[in-house]
Amino acid sequence: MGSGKATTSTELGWDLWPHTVVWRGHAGAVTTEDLQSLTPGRNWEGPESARAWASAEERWAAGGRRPAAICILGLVGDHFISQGMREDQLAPRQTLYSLNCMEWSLLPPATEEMEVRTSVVKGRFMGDPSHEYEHTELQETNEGEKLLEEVVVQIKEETRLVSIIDQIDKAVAIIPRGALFRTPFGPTHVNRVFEGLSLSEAKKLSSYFHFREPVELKNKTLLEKADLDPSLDFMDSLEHDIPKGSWSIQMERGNALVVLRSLLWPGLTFYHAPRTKNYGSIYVGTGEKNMDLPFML
Amino acid sequence: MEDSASTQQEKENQVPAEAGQPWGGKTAASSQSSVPESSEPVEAKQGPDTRPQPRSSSPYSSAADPTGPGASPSPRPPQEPSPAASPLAVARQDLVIPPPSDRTPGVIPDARPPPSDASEQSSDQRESTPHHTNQAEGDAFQQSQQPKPCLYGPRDVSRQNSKHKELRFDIFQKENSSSDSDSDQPATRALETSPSELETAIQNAKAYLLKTSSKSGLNLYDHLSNMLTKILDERPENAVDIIENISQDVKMAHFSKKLDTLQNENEMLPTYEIAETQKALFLQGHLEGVDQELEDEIAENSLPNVMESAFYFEQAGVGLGTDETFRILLALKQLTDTHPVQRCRFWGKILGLERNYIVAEVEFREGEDEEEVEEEDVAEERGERDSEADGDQEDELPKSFHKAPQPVPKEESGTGANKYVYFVCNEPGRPWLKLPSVTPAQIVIARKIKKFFTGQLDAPIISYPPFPGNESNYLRAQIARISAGTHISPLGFYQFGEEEGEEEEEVEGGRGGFEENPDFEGLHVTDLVESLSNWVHHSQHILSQGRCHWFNPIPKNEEEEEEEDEQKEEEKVEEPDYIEQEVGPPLLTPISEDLEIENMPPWTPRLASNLIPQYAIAVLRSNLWPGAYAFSNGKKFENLYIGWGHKYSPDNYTPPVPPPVYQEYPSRPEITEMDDPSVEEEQAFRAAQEAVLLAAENEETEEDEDEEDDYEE
Repeated sequence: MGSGKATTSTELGWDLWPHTVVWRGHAGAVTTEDLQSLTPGRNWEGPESARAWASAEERWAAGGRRPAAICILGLVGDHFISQGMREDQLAPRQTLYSLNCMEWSLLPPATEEMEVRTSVVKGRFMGDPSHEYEHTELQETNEGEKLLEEVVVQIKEETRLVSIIDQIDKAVAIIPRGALFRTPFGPTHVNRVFEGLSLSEAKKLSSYFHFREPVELKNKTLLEKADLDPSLDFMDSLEHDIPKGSWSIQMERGNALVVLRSLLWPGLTFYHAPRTKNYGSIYVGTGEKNMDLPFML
Repeated sequence: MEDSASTQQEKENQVPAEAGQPWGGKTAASSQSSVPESSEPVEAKQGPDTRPQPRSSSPYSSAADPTGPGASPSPRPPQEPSPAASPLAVARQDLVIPPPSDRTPGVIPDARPPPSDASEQSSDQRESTPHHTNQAEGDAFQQSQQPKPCLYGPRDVSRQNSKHKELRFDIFQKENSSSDSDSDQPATRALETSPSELETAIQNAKAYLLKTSSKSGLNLYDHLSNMLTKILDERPENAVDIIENISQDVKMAHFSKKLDTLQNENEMLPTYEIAETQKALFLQGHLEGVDQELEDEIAENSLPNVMESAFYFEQAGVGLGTDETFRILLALKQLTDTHPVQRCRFWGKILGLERNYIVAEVEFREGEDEEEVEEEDVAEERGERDSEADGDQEDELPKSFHKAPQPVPKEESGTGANKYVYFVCNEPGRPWLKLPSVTPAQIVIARKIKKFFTGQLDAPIISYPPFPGNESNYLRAQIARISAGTHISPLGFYQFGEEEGEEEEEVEGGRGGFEENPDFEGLHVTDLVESLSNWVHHSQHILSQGRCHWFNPIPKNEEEEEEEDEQKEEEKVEEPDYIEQEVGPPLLTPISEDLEIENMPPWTPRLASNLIPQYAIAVLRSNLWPGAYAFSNGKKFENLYIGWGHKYSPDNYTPPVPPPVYQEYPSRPEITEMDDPSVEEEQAFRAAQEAVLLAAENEETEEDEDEEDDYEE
């Protein structure tokens, strides 16, 4: 556990914007309890750990205004993940993880190879980064004879964790439209004049974007892109996510709060208070993708 | 007169502006040919307007002469009558018409300067009249005119004067006409004499004014009438000063959105609506018609202390937040106040796609749940009727030999999976809806499907295998399964009832199979965390049959078989004589005996706080039913479920394969198709047949021969 690596933000080169943690940065609008009520099951390890987590984040004081937190529930222990962003919001993030919210370690960036390798692992996380999953796979030896030999591959949970976090980030990290804007020079910044979605917009999936480099946008025709504002609509909206209906959108407390839950990655909850700049999301789940979704709708 | 003078001055201001250019043009170029040309079109256009008028005006002007202060005997220029007469004749048009008619006198003299075109008759006439007026009336206005001509230089003075006088004369004429109007006769006479001409003139003017602008799509006529309407409606002070603004306002009014008269009433804002419904929760007082004692009795046991459990669950990092929990508590109070509830518990929250369910677990007091029984009876009756009706209809149709297996009867309310009654609501404050009791078939199918809840109880469940019922039934089935799997308590908290004792399993429908152990002294929290054997299930396991208590379908079948002899044998063949009784783990089995899920422990125990273990509580998280939690501080415990209502499975869901196709009838040789015979076979067959025939013939011939022989003999 290389907790020493993540001592200060300056070492890591993150900008020192006012720190926000999901349940603290938006004081007044959404409180700890609010989020607790929105997130199925546990959110964090009780008040004690929540405080510890927050203090840890304060200590390294990183991150933009987008509150990003992930908690992966393991069988033995839980992984707490906290992400820091550079000023360019879409730049690669630094990810820290911890088991007790006090000692934080830096996770390596995810690679495609990692994803392929860990995709064979099924089941729950253990909650121990050094735990090794064993996977037997058949490998061809002796090219000519095509003999199959069982080879036991060992995969560290840490590797799987990195891969899963990357998948979650790419699949279901979302922001409301207008919260970020792209400057003509490329980098994406937090839109400080973002005043929140209107009530009618907040009810539409098209008002929310995947918080990642666009994938689908490039495949759109010119006609479809005609109405888009290049400084705001530079990311994929949730509207055309596959399968259709992979998001549950609910208005809570008489339209005072809109809550989006991902059905593809159960455990991801996003909230936004319409007409305010308060928004955020948290993932608290088992770290498993819901492959049964098409059957369940 | 003075009024007219002031208006005159205004006109004067305009006229020089108009006249200035032509004058200047003349002086500079001194060629009149160009100017008249330009003006002639105007004349031509206005020809119908202006030229006929002199004739009509003549009687009028002659009539006006005596009354006019200094009117010259010579006939008035043609333009005058129309302004004069029209105000009287046609109210509106008059107001509109003056401008063009005023313009004509202005334009014509400009176009034809007196000195040069003296030879022309028409010009002569026109020139002369101004001069006359000059002499006659000019004196009165000389003072006002003098300064202005000065600007143009002495040479122009006469012309200027003449112009102004002309204009002045117009106004005089107007005044005259107004004074004439007192007598009315001249005006009417004028109308009578040439009504058609006047009308055409008016209509032409009107047509011109009605011409819509190619830019804005408006026309001057409507605009002016709107303006005047507005002025007359509002009667502003000094309307003349703000006429430009009024004009502007009228034009701008076109752009303001006209609101539809059919407007929606203000929709009830959801925020307000939920506030109103929840207001009732906060205003709950003593209910009317409930005895004080009875109410006390209710209050004693039924209402759970949700806030206390929430406090403990919060330490475990589970819960809904104080605010929502309190609202739920109030909603539960409403439920217990309005129903004869023996015991009530906050079961949990099930998330849905559109809305969520808050679930309350309720036990009615004995003898108070008749309502439900009646409902069931009704339902059964309905079912019978349906079946009868079906029978009538299907009399003629061939009957199916397939006999559906005897449905496993559902457990009576108060026992097994139907031990408790469940109420759900979408949000605290909304009405509580009672879920129907669950049938074994529903549980069996619910195990095979995996569907999201929508949040609407009447939503259909579209699945394979088909689920018998709608979402309320599915929800009830899932609640039963979750309850059976995750309701746990510390060892020793409950004990078996004394009467039934250990025979509990065998006694069917034993209500209150267990009771709280009064001697329970509590377990140490660390023991609860370290050993799962200190936790026991206090809800019964649901057998794969869909019931908690085994139901043997065979004895009943035998009875039926006696009635129907024919089917008896067949059934005996089809069904095994003896079905092995399903046995589930008995009540209060330690959870340490729960089955593992593919090398995964079904429960994860944990201490809520590692820093202060003295006051920490034990928390158990179910891995089989993600979202199910239990806590205990040694003496107290509680179970809670917050989740999607789905069981965890390490493997992906695969819908069950459809059952094999039923055999329609037994396969026998007469219906099995034979292979076509080959040529050799056919030939062999034919040869054989021929041989037989030959043989027969031979025999016959032999016999014949014999007979013949006989005869012969």
